[in-house]
Amino acid sequence: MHPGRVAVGGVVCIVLLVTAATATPLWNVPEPGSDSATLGNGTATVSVVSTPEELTIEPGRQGGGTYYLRVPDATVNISERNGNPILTYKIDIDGLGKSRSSVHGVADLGTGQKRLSIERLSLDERELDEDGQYTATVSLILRENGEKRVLYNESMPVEVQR
Amino acid sequence: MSDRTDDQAVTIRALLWRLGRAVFGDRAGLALFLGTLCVVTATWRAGVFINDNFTLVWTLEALSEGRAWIAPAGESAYLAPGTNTRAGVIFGRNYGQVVAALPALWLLQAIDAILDLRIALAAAWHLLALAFVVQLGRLSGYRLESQLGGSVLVGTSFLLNAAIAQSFVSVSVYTLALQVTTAVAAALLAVVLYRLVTLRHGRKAGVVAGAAMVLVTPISLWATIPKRHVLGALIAVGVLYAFARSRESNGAVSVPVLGQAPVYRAGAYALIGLWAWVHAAEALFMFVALLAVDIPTAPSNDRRSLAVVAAAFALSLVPLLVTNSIVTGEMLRPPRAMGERGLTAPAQENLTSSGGGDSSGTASGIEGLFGALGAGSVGVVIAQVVSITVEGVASFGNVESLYRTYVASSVEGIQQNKSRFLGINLALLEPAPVLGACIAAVVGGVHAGHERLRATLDATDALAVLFGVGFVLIYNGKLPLNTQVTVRYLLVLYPLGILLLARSATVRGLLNTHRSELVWSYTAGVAVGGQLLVAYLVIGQYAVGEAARIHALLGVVLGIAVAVTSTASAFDERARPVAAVALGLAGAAGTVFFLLATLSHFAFVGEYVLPVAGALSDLLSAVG
Repeated sequence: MHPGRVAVGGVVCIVLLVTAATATPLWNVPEPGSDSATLGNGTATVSVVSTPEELTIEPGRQGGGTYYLRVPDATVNISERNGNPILTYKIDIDGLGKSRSSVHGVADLGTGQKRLSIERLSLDERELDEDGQYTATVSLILRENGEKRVLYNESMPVEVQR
Repeated sequence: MSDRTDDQAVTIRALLWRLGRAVFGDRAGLALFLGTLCVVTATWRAGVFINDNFTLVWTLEALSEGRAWIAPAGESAYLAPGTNTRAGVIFGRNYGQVVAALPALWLLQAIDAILDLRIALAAAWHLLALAFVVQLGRLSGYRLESQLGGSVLVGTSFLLNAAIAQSFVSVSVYTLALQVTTAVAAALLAVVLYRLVTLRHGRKAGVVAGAAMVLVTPISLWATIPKRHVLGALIAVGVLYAFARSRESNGAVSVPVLGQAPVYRAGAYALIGLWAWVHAAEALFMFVALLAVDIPTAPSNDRRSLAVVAAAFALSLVPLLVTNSIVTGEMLRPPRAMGERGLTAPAQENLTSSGGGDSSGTASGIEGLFGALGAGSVGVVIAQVVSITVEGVASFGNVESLYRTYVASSVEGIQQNKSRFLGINLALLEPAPVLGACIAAVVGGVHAGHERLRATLDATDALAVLFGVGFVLIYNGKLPLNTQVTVRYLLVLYPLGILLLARSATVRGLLNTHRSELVWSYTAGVAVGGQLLVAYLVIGQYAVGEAARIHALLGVVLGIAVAVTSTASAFDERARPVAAVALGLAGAAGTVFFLLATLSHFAFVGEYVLPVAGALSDLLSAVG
């Protein structure tokens, strides 16, 4: 037997076997309460560790009148998870009518200290007021079995850097 | 009994062998095909990149269900870019491309029925990668080493991918099928370019040209985006290859029934006929170019040859004519000739997350052309071709937009994109600065002297130039345009540019005498320069529009450096090492652009097919 061929044949077999093993309908029965539990069903203990301290709208480095609001990450501590409740990190900018959020299944996050981030918001120069001073509401919300629990909800000023 | 199965096995093997020879040419072509497919799908994201991808996805969905229309028309119906409404239903576009995606769709649907699609695609990728490494080993003579090493690497990588794999959240098999089709087209494009260059300059130059096109130009970026551009480039280079073969010796091939027939010549026309099924105007310009070069240089224009060619071309137009009668109700009016939603559709295209665009497009030359095609009068068609040509030539008067389209882009030049995508549109040179060496190819050729130039240039070169000019004439007046990203309308210029470099004695000279400088500067550029750029862009949390500006600046600087040093090397040998290093670094910038664009800047598009690529992308975004 040629050793190279054996190695190649072996890997091809492994790849095919592992792939065949994903033919789930044959034997896999989903267990209740497993990680793939329905999003929103379940409970968890979540404590807020850190939230943004300041928010600044900055001009984009490509120019052309684009501005960005980069929202700093929030840090939470997750423990005693059961099922897959939903954790939402959200920012609303009053006066601009803009909001952005990130939604997480707690089962996907896992337990321990976790960072939540929000994608940067892009704004056009024309949307911003001349002497722009805005207020933003930053919130962290946990939804357990359809019940909404506000973990954090604070208003803070947003500065526009020109 | 066993003799018979043995015989059958031998016949099937021989058949596969012949098929492989016909498609790939030789083992190097096969390796290039496998390698390209692996590279372009390594960072493949299953998802929609531009709004008008939806049109193709829905058209494919419709065709797979046995109908040509995508939805009933109504006030609430969403009109995707490029769609046409007639007889109470909405029709799609690019039917030729969509039909080409049907086999891939059937295969994917079959896999999806029994297996986890994510794992199955990861498995397919790894089997391709293993095949690539094994072929590479056989080519380089390190057969056993590559078999053992490849097995270990690929096996480990697959298990790693399988371990972290999660099923797709929302991926449509229709999108996947279109993406598989364009990726295969990109791999075939590399093979055809390899075979074309090999005809004139041998295998080594051919392999370098094919690999360079994939690694250092944005062909790789567009390979997994369901648009027509990669397919168009494949058709153009395919025609060049068929044409070049048709000019060899007597250019005739023995065919059953017909006897000696100009098969390659007929094939060149047939490819263009098939392209008309996707984009009739581009096909028309290619047809005119081919006619202009083919008739005067053909080995023979006897009645029989012309009859074979005409028959093949007529046959290749049948799918277009059938589609026309279904979609527009007139056999000679292609779908794009309906309403104003013709080529002005680009003005409506937007990157997916930016929502729909405005539909304020003005009808101009090209829509008129479609109208003329509809009218079916040869005289009107010629008049329109002439008017587009005149308009295209006239657009060269606008020096600023020429500079913005081909050399250095600007943010202010294209304002239609939503603010976060402002600045993502690069000029032709920026994502592929190696094309700066095209200047050296031209200057070096002229410097070599009139006599020498005439001895090296042939009809295929003339056709390649006419193809490039044709595409430029069609689109130049509208460029730069929003969501062109890397001037995608002129994507065909990348393989043609690489072809020009491969044909240039100056550039080939650099490759022959200073290979180690080239290889080292390229490798260092990707490994070290790439990491520096990652550190700069990722830690600085650059948005996609901002990051594109950094790539643009880098591309222009390297492109100019390549142009200057390689041109100097045509006159003075002492400039050669510097030119080789500049060329290597410019190539590296192209590769790094592809990697960062797919792993970081455009990571928000869809879901990564390879789980490890997704994890790597997450890692990059988490660093900041």
